Amino acid sequence: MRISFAIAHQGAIREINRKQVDIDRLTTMLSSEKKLLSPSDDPDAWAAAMDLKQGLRAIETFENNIQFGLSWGNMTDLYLDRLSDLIMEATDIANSAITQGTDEEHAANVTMSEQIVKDALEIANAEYDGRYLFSGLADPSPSDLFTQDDATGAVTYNGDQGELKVRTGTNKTSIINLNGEDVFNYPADTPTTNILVELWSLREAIEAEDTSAIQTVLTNLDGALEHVQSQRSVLAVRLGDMKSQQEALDALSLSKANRLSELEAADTAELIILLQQKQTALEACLSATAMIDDLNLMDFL
Amino acid sequence: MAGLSLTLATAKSTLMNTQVQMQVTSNNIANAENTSYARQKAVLTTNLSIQTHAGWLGTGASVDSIIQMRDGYIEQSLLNSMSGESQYNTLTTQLTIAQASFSDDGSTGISQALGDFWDAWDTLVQNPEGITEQAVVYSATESLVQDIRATYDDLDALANTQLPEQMEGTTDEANSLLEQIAELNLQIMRNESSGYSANNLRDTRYQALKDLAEIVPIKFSQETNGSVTVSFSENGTSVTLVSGAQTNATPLQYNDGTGEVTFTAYDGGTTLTTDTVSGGELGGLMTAQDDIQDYMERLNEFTSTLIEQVNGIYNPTSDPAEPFVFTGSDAGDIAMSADFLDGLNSSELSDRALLISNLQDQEVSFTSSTTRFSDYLADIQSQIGSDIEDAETKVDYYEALRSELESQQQSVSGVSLDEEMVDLLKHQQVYQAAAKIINTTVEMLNTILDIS
Repeated sequence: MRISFAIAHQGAIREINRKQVDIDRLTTMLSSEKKLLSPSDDPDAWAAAMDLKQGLRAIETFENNIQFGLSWGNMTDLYLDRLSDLIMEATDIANSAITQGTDEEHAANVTMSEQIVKDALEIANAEYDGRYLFSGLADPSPSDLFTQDDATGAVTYNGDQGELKVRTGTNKTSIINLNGEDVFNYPADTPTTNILVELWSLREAIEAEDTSAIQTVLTNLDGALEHVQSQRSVLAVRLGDMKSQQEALDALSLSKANRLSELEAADTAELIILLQQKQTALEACLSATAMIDDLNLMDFL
Repeated sequence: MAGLSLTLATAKSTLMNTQVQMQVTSNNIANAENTSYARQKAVLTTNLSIQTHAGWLGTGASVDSIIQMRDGYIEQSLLNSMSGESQYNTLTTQLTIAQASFSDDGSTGISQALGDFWDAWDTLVQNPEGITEQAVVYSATESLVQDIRATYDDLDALANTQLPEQMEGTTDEANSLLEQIAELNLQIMRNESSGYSANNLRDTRYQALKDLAEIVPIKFSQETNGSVTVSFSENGTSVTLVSGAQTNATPLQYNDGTGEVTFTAYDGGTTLTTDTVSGGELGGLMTAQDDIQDYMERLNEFTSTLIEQVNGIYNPTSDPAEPFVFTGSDAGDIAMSADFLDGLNSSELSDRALLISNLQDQEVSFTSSTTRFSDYLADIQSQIGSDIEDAETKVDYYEALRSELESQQQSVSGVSLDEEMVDLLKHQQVYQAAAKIINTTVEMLNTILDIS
């Protein structure tokens, strides 16, 4: 086979170009620390990486939602804890009022029961992040969520029974709220009274020094306390579920991030070795090209 | 009768022959780097002998012709490989541009905008009446709409403006080359009627054939009159584009409306209209246009399904009096409805936001598959990646094939400097020997003259 002058040089140029393209590609990988630079590098790996990125983004969203749910739940629990304290305080005041103390003691009991009614109403209208904690999904603004007629003790609830749900996993939602009707009306199965109404009734009975009425309210307050505790139990189960989900998501996130790194991240050591190989090959190419000129009969004539 | 004058005449013709050979060698060396040039060779033939008393006496040699070293079969194979390489190089380039238009690695582009869109609805669930949360929903929706439209517009400009312009340009270039080949045929036929090979014109024509093969796949056949017949075949139909000095005024015509190219025979007798060309830059451009239009259709399907699903949740009764999230029907005209969050109460917003956010985990029915929105997007990109990967593999194949055939073609037609140098030495020595003969003959003649 004859090797023409043009083909010898064309071959050399082609090989030099190829090596330079390879080196350029390896250099880009090294500087970006990524081995997947475009879908055409490895279409299947690219699709898998996209799926993993989507999964990681979704996990971040779930974790954000869980964090919101936990904060909401913890705040709800805090207010329910205060409500329990108020009920126990009201029970103590009721017991004190039954024993018929001095006028000063009576006046103090009236004042304290008055304060408890106000505090309980404040709890019922508690807000978190600009929203009523116990409004369900309704937004009664600018009205208060709970209003109470001071003369009759009648309570008006301006919320609904909506469940505030957030996404905590793929195709999984968690309810994070307790609505006002479920929290303040009791007993749970067939509600007949309301905690706010009972506390108002207690204040009225103490003010009227009606021991029989106080005794009735005392009995009802036992049920109220038990009801609040049961609502807290419901909340605790939900919070526990979200915490477990959070732990599972953390583990899943780590696993997906590792897999993504395997697919996408460049192995620097491997790339440097490959780069050195290509550099050596390019040097050999350049050297061979230089030798083409030397290997010419003209040099020997 | 032979004498010293015959010796002088023979030596003189040797000098003349050697000068021609030296010129041929010089011409070969001058064209050494031109791969369209076929090396030439001065062919010597022995002159007629004359009869003497001692027998038939040779009278030297003369240059009969200057021929080119060519192999038509290898040259045709080389043109085929050049067409293939050009087609897939063009395809790779255009699809790489389309791939960049998506500019989506999951952290940028439509995928990211889609993720932000779902996240915004998730956040709205937490506080449906919140001004910040609502602003985020509007912003994410607008970003998604803009990204989809920008990507679609880029692909649309590529497939329906830039590629047709390039196809128009390549068909014009092909027409010009066909005209050039016909003209060269005419000149070659005229020049060769005298019996001598029009080598330089043949080289120019071969260069034109190579340039043409890079645009459209062609076949050529050598005629006895020195011309070449150029034809194009597709789908079993063959059209002769150049015959002798004849070619149609516009042998290739690109139709912007249909995206087809019409090939018209040199005599206008046969026409072939096709939307696929299996080779050359034109073939690459046509395949790229088909592929990109396919990506656009898939992006359209993604968008129309997204619009349908999100609007279906947000306005389940399709009541025109109530707001929709999106307006438009596909990627070309998708837009965000103004203030679509107004008019719904907190409870309705919360419910619908949660349902819309849940869409990201649901498998939705597309023509090709039932899958999630994000997976469908990834699949479009994966398809672009696969198409580029396939084209690159074919480029590698045709590059290797072309390289091999070019080596073979050059083995026959290329200029080897070493070979030319050896020829040069040979011619030099023959020239020196002939000059020596003249010198000696002159001395002999002088001797004779001195006697007298």
